[in-house]
Amino acid sequence: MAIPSRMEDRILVLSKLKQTNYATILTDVNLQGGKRVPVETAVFGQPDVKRWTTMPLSMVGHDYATLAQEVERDMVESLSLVGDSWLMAWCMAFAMGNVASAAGTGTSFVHTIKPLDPSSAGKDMPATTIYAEAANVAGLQRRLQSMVVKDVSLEFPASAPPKITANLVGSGQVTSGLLASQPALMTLVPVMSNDMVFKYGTQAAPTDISNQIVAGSVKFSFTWTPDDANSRAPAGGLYRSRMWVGSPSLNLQFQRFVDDAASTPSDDFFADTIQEVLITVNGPLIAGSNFHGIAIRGLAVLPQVVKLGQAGNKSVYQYTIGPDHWLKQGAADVVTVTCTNLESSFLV
Amino acid sequence: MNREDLVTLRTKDGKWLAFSHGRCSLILEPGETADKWMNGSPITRGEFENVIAPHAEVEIVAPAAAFSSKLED
Repeated sequence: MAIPSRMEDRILVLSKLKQTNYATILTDVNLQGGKRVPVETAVFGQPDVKRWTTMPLSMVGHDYATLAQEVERDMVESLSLVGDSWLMAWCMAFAMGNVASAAGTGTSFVHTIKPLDPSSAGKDMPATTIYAEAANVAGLQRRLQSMVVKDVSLEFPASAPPKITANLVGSGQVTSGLLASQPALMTLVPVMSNDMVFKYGTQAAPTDISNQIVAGSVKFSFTWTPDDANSRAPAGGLYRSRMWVGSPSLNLQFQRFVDDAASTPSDDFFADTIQEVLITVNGPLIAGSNFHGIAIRGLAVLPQVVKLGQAGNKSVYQYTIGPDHWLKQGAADVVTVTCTNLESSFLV
Repeated sequence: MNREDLVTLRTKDGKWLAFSHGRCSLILEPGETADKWMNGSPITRGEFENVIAPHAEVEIVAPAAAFSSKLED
């Protein structure tokens, strides 16, 4: 190839806006108001194609296909992102679907993000349109339509920003051509895993156990397990027509050093003691008491597994809090993710 | 849906609010009231109680204008 395309020069644009519905994509003006996003792994926006062929047919006199016809087009992408305050909020908002944003101190905005309630707010996952440019030619400059965050995970490696992994699935439809007047590259405001404050313990009064946590061991993930099996409908042609929520699935894992003087964690585990967990990671101060950052709160959790293991030459408890161990208590929220940054709103 | 069930909302603290929950989205400027979601559909009492009130600091100002016009009909 005479002019190889360098991925450093390529472009990915995310918008904070969700589509008004699955079929109505964002406009170029919407995308121009979005952010050009740096990623750890390139995004190409290349649809997958599934074809029906005559290969399996019998009694045709030979072993080969004589006809191949496209029947489905798919779009799956994985975003691997730095734990920036805007990107964490974007991923959590689109993965969970319920956001209330309020002005904080100074120029800060506080976004309270929760899983949507399908019984009152509908079953549609929030969808957005993403612009991905894999090369400087019109056919590879694509608007990826109706992209849904299928799942998101946050890993907190030691002495580094959190690592966000968001897997997306779209309708499969793309619109090609250059996005004019593209937004400038966003300025990352990463938070750092080593600034994490990890609280865990009695409900309403979890205590700071940060100095008992193994650095780099904390991982949180969420998915609505979108209903892909029902995403295609008659008259949809090659593309998905909708994406409904499935079942919410929360997962938290971390390692905690075993204390030679206390068997409390083990005792609590066997006693099925309900606990609260609150993980806060703050970055730079915006104003007052508002920092760029994220806080994840599970009001009532019950560790599914507390297994003894080893980190270096130290004994550790390996905690796993699986999907069915995040308890619903009355009208209280099962999980609340609070993100603070300079963006006024997400999804809207 | 009964027209009597329509409501007008404002933020409790008079502050700015952006809200999105499924099909219901709303932006309220300080002091502003709204009787419709951003997609143009009216806000019902049920949506207030179940969709937005559990998640955002909003309150009902008064029944929407449609209520009084229905009484006059």
